[in-house]
Amino acid sequence: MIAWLMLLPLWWGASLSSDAAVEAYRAKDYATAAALWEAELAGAESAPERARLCYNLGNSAYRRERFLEAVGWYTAALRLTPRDGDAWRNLELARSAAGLEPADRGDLEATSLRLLSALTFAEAQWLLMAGLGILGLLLLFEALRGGRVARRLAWGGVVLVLLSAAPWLWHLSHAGERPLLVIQKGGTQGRSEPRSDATALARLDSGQVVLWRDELPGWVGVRADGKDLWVRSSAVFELDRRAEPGGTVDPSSGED
Amino acid sequence: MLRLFVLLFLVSAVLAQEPEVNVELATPLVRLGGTVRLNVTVENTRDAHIQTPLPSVDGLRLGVPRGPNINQSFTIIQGRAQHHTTVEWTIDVRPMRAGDFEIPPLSLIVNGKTIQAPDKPMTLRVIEDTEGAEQGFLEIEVPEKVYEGQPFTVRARFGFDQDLPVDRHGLYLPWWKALRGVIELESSALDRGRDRIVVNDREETDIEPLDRFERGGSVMRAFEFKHRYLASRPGKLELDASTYQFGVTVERGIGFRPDRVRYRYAQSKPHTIEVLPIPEEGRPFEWSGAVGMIEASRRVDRRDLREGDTVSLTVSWTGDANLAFFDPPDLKRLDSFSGFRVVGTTDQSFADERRVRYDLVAADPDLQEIPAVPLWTFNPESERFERIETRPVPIRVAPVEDTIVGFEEQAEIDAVDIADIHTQVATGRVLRPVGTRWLFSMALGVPLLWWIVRTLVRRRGDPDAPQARRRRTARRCLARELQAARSASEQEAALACFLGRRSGESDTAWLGRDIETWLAEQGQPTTGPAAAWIELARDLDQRAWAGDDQPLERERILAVADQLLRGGVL
Repeated sequence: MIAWLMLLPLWWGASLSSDAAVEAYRAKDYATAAALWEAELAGAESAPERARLCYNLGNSAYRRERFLEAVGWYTAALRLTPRDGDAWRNLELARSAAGLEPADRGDLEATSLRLLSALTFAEAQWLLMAGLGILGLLLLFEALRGGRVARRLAWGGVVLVLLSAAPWLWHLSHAGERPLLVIQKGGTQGRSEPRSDATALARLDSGQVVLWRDELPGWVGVRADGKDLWVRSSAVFELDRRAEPGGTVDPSSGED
Repeated sequence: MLRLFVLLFLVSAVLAQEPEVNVELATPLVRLGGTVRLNVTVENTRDAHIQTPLPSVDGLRLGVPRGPNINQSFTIIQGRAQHHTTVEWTIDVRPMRAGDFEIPPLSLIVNGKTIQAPDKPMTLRVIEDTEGAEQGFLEIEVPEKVYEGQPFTVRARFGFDQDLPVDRHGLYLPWWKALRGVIELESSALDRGRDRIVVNDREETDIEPLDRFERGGSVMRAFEFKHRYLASRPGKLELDASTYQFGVTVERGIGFRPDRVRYRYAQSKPHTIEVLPIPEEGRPFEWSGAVGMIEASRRVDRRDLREGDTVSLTVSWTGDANLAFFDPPDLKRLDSFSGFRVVGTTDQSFADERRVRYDLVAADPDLQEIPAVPLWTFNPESERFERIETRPVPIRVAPVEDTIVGFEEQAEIDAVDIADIHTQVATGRVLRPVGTRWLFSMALGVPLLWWIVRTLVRRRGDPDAPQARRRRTARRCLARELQAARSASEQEAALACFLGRRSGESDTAWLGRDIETWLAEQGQPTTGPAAAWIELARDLDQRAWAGDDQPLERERILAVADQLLRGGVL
């Protein structure tokens, strides 16, 4: 009880901050609203709340016509709550306003990717557990009764498990990645060293997703198109907005 | 080379179709003194000949075949070429006496093969009636002359004395479906009759009953049928004398014996229709091919438009004319429609109406009306070309400046914007990850558990073996059979079935078996569930063999079976 009472001011403070941000947003003071929500984001723990804050930050960026930044915030929100319809809608509008192609182009590749990423890592694990549970029941039936029907059902269970494992495997394949979005208008130069006069090795288009590799004050080391590059920190946007950035998936710990 | 391809194409098209031979009498009934035509038609080949001499029939004289008339047509419909060839002969058949005759099939050589047609002999009835003319009548009414392309009506009125108990009648029309140079038109709904009559013993057509009237001192029951035709080429149309047959049943047939009917006949005069060509003199360049008396009307779906809007103008042409066969006016070619763009035309033909819908876009804000739509026709009554036209339709077209404001307003309504911010703090329950160790444990544990259970179960035998399946379904089978059992002996049989399935023996092995001995052999005690079983078997035996075979309570038997299963006795 005492512990709960001690947590109450924190919750109260967060709620006040959120109200102030909403009021600022309604008053079209989008910069203040964004600052308040960013401060709130730094202390938020749960994924849905962080996704909400990212989404609201996306809206304030959109209203300030920072469309590429808005794309980054909405993408970050969708990584936390992948089936948020409002976030998808706003993402597509922001991408359109930024001159980028739609996130869901509607082709087979985009649809498959959207299906695979439609679950969070935890949901993907539970889906696989459910598949394994159904397989267990079907195998038990086969062990006790035998027969052609039971065998076919068991094989069906195996297929079901393979299908239900797909989202989990997709998350595993992206474990440890820290994706960054290039939000510099007109793109940015990828340099060989973290210096402005270093050789430009590649051009990164705005809206392109690159992977975090290293970090120095004012510079981020990224990997793009098979090359290790340095870009200015202001040119990229961190898409992973979980409580512990960088620790996206740790298969050994089993924690998100 | 191109010609060669075309030739090969035509040859292949002809070869692809099998020749069809049709030999039939124009009518199966003729009056003595008259002539009936025997029509011979071969389709899809030119290589056809009639073998002579023709078969001889006592009482009939078959004339020399007239022909062959060869018709060829080549059409392309939806990209598919169709080549059609028809070879025709006509043979006049003149009867020498009254009676029923059979004309044997004719022999034809088609593509080198001898063909007999038709399959069965053709029957011809030759009549010599003297009574029917007073008791019935048949009048055919046709125009004496028509113009090429003009539709006309063949009207037949017929009937019989109402005092006659006529119970069957039919028409014999030699020209039916045999007129050359005409197109048969679809009848409008109003022209369709309420009754039916058989024509030429082959097919039925609609007729309309008429009011009774007096004729020659007798009151006649009368009928009428109308058929519409369109003359497609100049020349003469011959309608041979037609016959109306009406019969009174004198004696009803029994079994296979047919009715005995006394027929009477009435005959019409032959008629000739002269088909005149459309005169060249005074023919305007814009003449559309329309022939007849036509009226035009129009309607529009809207009159108040904005510049760029579409308006549908529907023009209807009605009247006694070849409505389905003329070319409707092309508004794109008319100067009066220069202020419009024609974006679509929908052409529909009905039996009594031609309807064309023009979709027009008002391209000029100064337009005041949709102009008249003209059509040049040939009027057969006045024998002159006439121009008929619809009345203009007054319209108002708003200029484009006004419409832009409208579009802006619309755009404001239809504009898209981002969804609003989420103001409620997300308090939903967060799904905790399962943990990869658990997942791998489950992924390995499930197959391992299956393998263990499977191995243990298989030690006791295959669970899918017939014996095992019987054993599993024993309880269900007992419940089902007890439901149907109406006596103690039937219940005993049901219980024996259950025991047989559980023990792996036949059902009959359990009929009359000493259960106590069996239990002793199995080393099972005779107490507990076994005691209830022994008592149940005793009660069933007593009722079945020494009592009135009254059934026991079903629930008691099922309870004992359940006890045996739970106690592991079986």
